[in-house]
Amino acid sequence: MTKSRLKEMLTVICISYTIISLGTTLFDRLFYDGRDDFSSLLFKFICTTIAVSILYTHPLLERLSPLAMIVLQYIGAMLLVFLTIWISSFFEKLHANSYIGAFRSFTIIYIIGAIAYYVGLHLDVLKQNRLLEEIQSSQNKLL
Amino acid sequence: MRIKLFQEDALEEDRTEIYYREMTEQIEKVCQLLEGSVPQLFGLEDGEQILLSLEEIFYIDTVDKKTFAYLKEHVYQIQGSLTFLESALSKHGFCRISKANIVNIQHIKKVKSEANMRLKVVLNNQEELVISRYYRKIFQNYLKKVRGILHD
Repeated sequence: MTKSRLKEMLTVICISYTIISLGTTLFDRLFYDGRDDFSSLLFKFICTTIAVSILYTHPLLERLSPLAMIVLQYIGAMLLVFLTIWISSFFEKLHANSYIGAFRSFTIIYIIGAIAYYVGLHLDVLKQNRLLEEIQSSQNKLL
Repeated sequence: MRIKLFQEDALEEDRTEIYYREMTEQIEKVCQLLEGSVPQLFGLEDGEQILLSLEEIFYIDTVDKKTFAYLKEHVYQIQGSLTFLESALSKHGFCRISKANIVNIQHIKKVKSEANMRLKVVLNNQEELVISRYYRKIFQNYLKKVRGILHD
């Protein structure tokens, strides 16, 4: 990984973490009257770092199809999140549904991301075919 | 078109003059060729070099550090790296779509997506080439640029 890419990745982690922590804190305050403690903020930061780092591996998986890449990244991210929860279990008592909760949170985000990618891909195909049609008809008129 | 060639040892530099009644596509191409604005690609066949017409090339592929130009029915080995050819041919309707391929957009029949979310170009000779994720937006921007030039 190049220095500039690493710098970019760290920036993305910082921005994502800020948005996620602000968003979830606001959500908790509005609906649950909850308050984030240190371990919760740390867990969110670790999850953000895992997700962004995994997503940044996509140039290494260029040979794979996008679908295979999304599935592989999802499995990798999920395993790392579970590992983080398992390690944290040595330091504090876990909630009974902590694994299921993490699985649900991560899966929902990944499914939304995959759908967005799929829709974007189809829109790109339509756009590219329209552009090609316009280019080829313009060239035919010139000839 | 009649062509006359004169050899004069006393000339200080080579000179070309073209007389025409009306500017045609053929004369424009001759001018571009003389100005050196059209890159010349030579294909190797049985040890002989053949000048390839850019319009006839469907796509360029690289295998084991060797570069090949694919025409409708023939394949010729050509000189130059893909990076060099990418910049040299970008003004002539060629666009990089993956690490190994440069495609001539004139010969693209359509772009399609597959169930595994892979994008492919289908050429007029029914051959299919993968557009890699990295080049997906580059390809789209290239098409936008060409359309912009044609509309201007």
